[in-house]
Amino acid sequence: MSDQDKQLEQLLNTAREQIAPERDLWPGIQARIHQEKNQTTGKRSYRPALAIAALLLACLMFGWQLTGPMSQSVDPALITLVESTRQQHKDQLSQLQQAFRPVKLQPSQAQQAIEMGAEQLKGAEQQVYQELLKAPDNQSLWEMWLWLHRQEIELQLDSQQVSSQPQGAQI
Amino acid sequence: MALKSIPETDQHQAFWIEQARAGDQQAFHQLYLKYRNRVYTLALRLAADIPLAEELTQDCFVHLWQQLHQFDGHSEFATWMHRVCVNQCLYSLRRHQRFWHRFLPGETDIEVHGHQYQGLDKMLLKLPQRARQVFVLHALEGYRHEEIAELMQIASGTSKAQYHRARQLLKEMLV
Repeated sequence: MSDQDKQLEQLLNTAREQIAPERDLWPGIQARIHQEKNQTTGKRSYRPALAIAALLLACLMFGWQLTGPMSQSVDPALITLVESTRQQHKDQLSQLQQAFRPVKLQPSQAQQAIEMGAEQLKGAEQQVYQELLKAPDNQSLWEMWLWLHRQEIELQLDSQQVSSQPQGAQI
Repeated sequence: MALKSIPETDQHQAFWIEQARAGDQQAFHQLYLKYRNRVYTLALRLAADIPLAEELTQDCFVHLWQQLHQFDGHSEFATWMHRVCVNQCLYSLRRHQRFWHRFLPGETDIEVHGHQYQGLDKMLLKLPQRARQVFVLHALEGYRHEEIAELMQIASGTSKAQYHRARQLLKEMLV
């Protein structure tokens, strides 16, 4: 066994068993559990929207078959789908914001960080949205865009979690 | 400082598990307090990135909450939980990498953060992702190469090769 082997074995034997996270991760976990619970109970309300989206996509595919591909041009129906999806997302965010209005005048450090994150997500969403308007048939862009929407909703829920915690609250 | 103490006995833990399975988030919080460091350590070593490790830890606990009903009590809770967390970390890392690959198609590894770590943990951060993950699972978490192959969806020979590569790189760092 070489010296390096011995040193490595020693490092392995003395490696720390546990490292503590630098911040409390529970509020984020709790918010996601809470969100999942709400989504489960409110699943029925999403069904009409999903059905409409599926129908719209089916119509688009049928229309595509009838008219043939429009080569370089952008399908206006897909643009409509982008716009309506964005409007639904904005409505959902707005509902969340209206349902919970924090009363604190001075935002905490955590709230400020969340607000900064929300601004960054908003900027990214806007950029992807602009790209999607140019290429609404790009599946990867769609996935990325919808992912950003989910992140915005999750951050909004996190924000509510932080705002609703009394200062100095302990478990 | 937590007002509720962390119970030491298995009986308490069994009670929390039962309560959490029934939907009690406070009970699940107690399980989080008990296991957060262990899960975070695993996540940090697999991800080599603090913000990502935090995200993975949250993913693990959300997934544990969803899967608690599947814990039948025949095995140790810690063993079951660890397996669920390893699976979740690897799944989340694959998803994370796929997502960022769209933006950075040339990048294969995530930027490494963690300058405050010492010893082996500091060296682990410098290993290539696949070699690091295999090394952590085999050398630190005690998984066999066959198990790692199944978890990481690779051949067991690949797992062995990555492990030896990681060892070699770590030894070079020690010179």
